[in-house]
Amino acid sequence: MKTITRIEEMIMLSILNLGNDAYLVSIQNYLSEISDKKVSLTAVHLPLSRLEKMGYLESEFGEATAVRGGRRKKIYSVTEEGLEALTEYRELSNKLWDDYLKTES
Amino acid sequence: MSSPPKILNRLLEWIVDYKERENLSGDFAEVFNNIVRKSGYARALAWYLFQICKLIPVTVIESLIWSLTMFNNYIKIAIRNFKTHRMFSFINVFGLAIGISTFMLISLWVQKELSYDTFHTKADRIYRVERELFRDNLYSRWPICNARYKQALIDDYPEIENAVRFWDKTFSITDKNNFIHRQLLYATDNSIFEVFDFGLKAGDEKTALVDPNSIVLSSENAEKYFGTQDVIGKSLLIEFYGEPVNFKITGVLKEIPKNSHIQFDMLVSISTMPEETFGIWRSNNLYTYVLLKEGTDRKVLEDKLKTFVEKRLEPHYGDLMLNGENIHRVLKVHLFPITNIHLNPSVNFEWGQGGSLTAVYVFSSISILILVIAGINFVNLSTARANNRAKEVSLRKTVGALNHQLKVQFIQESILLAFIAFILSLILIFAFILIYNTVFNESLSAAQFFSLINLLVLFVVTLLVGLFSGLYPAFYLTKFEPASVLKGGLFKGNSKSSFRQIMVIFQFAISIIIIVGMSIVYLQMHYIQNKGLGFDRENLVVVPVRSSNVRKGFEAFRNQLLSYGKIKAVTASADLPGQPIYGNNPVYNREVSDEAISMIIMYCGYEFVDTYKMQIIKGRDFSREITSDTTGTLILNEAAVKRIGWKLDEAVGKNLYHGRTDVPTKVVGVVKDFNFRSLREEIEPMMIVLLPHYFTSISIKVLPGDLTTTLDFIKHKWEEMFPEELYSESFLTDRLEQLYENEKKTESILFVFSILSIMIACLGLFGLAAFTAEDKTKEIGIRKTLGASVSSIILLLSKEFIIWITIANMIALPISYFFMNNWLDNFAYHINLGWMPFLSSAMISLIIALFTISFHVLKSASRNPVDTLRYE
Repeated sequence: MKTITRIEEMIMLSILNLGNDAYLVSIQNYLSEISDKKVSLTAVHLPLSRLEKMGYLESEFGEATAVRGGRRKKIYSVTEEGLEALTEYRELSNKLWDDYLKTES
Repeated sequence: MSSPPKILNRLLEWIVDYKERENLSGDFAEVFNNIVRKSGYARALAWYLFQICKLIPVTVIESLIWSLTMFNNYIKIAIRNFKTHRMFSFINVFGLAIGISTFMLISLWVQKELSYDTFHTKADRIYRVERELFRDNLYSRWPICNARYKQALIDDYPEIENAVRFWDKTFSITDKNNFIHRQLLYATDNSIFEVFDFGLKAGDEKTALVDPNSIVLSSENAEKYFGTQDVIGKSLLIEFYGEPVNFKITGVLKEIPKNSHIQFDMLVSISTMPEETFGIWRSNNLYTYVLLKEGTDRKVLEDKLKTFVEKRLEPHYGDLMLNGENIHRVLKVHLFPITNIHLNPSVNFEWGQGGSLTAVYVFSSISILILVIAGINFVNLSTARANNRAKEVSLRKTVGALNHQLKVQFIQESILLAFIAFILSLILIFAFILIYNTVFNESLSAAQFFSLINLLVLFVVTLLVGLFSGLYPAFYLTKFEPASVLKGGLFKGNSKSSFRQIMVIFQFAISIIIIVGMSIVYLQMHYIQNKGLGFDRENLVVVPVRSSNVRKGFEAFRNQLLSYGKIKAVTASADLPGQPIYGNNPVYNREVSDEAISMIIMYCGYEFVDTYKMQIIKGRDFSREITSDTTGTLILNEAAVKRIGWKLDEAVGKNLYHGRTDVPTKVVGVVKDFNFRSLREEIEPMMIVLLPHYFTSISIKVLPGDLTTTLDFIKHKWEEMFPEELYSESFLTDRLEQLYENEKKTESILFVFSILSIMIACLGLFGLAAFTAEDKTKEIGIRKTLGASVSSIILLLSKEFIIWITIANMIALPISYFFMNNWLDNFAYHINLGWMPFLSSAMISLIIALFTISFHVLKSASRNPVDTLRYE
């Protein structure tokens, strides 16, 4: 299993949190709000394509709205493999934190 | 709610990956909307643009990588195709290379023709002062005028900055060995160095031609007369109007560019010429060029020149307006741009031969036609090869190739082939220049050709040819339905493609036109060289004379020669047929008018008319018995009598004035017109003047048979009598041949063209025959099994081609008749167009075509049907 990066972790978590309405712009907005930093579209789009290629994400076309000039959204959802990778990332992260805290005390 | 500008949206959609085109452009539109709401439209637009800019580099790199990958594959396939169909590819590339190199060589020549006189830095401001006369409804153009025009024009018109005159004179010059040469030189103003870009290698350009009796000369002449280049300050002895005068050498000329219509070897200061030689205002004797001030409008100035006509010329042209005619309707002073002179030479009094605008047009169109023929081949052969490519195309389509990708592939392939042809054509051009220079003794330089601009043009032409010839095959080949091709095994091509038929007919029509043209040029040349000239040119031996020694001893020499049985006549003359006669001399019939009549003056000795077997039709030849003949008598030709306006009967006994003297010369005889110059020219008015003591050659009429002994005798006598003089001899017939050098060049160029065009067309036909034969493989097989004979199959296969060639002939023959009729009109004496050249060209084209296809026809007709039907 391939490891993911931090931004990819953040994006996958955002998709999980957003539920049925996870697409490029909503992910960007959500991340910007939560981190209180400006996140650019490309910064989100590139990891998205990478994750999709790795099979951690899947996508389908959603509804079209007027605000998008009548074009459909590409809605993302996390796959089983994606969840596994996410969990693995978290475990690794936890381990590292634990070790650090141990030496600290 | 607002959306991004449509055009930007398009751009965005175009640069993003096409799989995500829809959702991404939607996403961008949504964000755009958000920004509009938050910070306004301008900010949103700026953001949108910025996003696009950020995407561009990625897109470009992506597409480059992909096209390189595909290009790699295309090249690989192209090379494989090239290898498996070696002959086809060779025909394709070679034909195109020939087409491209012909095109380029001709444009090189056209470039040279168009570049005449453009090398002068002030070329756009230099004009020649010419007069246009409209008399008796006849228009004539006179590039020469009186020597006084120059000063008058400068005085009257501030727009004229400067002016130069050129007055051609033929003088006798004595060289270091006391040999006397007839030399053409020009009397000119020192302003020549200010107006034109002619310059001096040595000497002061500011003063070289200011003082009287100054002379500047070319390096070759310096070598000729002094044997050294270091000649400044030395003096040269010139027989100037009958008196020997020493001229001081003040400069050595730089080489004059070949593309200058003004050519000279020697210049003397015009201040040397005595004022009285200018003659009256109406005697026109020299060229005048003016340099206009910057920003002067020629048309406006020409209009102002009307006052010049009124003030300066009208008083002298009274007779033109006898019937109350307005002077401006009869006489115009015209400024002719110097850069136009070469291609629009005046009929009268022009420097040298001049160029031909028609030739420029004809040769350019032929070269373009040859390029077109080669391009057509390329198209035809590529489509004919569709059979072999159909499977590849279908397979590529099946694995997902898009139509436009296939088109790009075929266009790239044809451009690739075109570039191989490009390299080949460079080699061909180089070889051609080498051969051309040796054959025609010219100095086209390869370096001049391979200049950056020429290479660039060649490159672009190649690119275009590749592109255009790739277009049709690209569209044709991509039309295939993969399923039927892959399933059927053999692709059933569109064998009755009318496009290909039309192309072949077109190619052959062009080739036939060129062949007819060539054969008629050949016939005309043959005619010219064998036509009666009005004098007998056979068995005439010419011996050049260079020293006064020989002149003194000529009579004795002549008597010695005449004592030999095989020598019929001996004469001496300053001029010879086929040798240029300088100067269009003004002759005046003062009793009637002061207008100069232009005539050739030929100087000859006694018995000239007799030796050359010319025919005296009125009066008599010069005679040794009549002593008054040596002072002021002359013989005219018929044309001269006609030009003056006399009747044949009344000419003898009349007086004419020529040269500087006011002494009249009496007409003693009229000679039947004879062709002294090239047959291209109408016989011009000529006066023959007796000059027994000065001559440059001896003509000896010998009897045919045992020529060697006769020539030995002449040589022996010469060496006996003039032991210190050089002896050389030539036959007049050989000298006359040189008159038609230009036509011979045209003939050989056309010959090369016709071979080239027919060759390229045949290459194409060869390929097409292969295609047709292959296409009918199955049909032939079935016919043979059913009992068809080989000959009936040959007929079946050739029938189509014979029809094509016949149609091509029907188109080509009338067109070539029209063109060649026009061309023949250039000659004063020409052949009548019969049907022979047309019929033979038609036959030749048919035979060549049949011969070309015979290889494939015979091969497929004799094939065993078992082999051809087996694939079923």
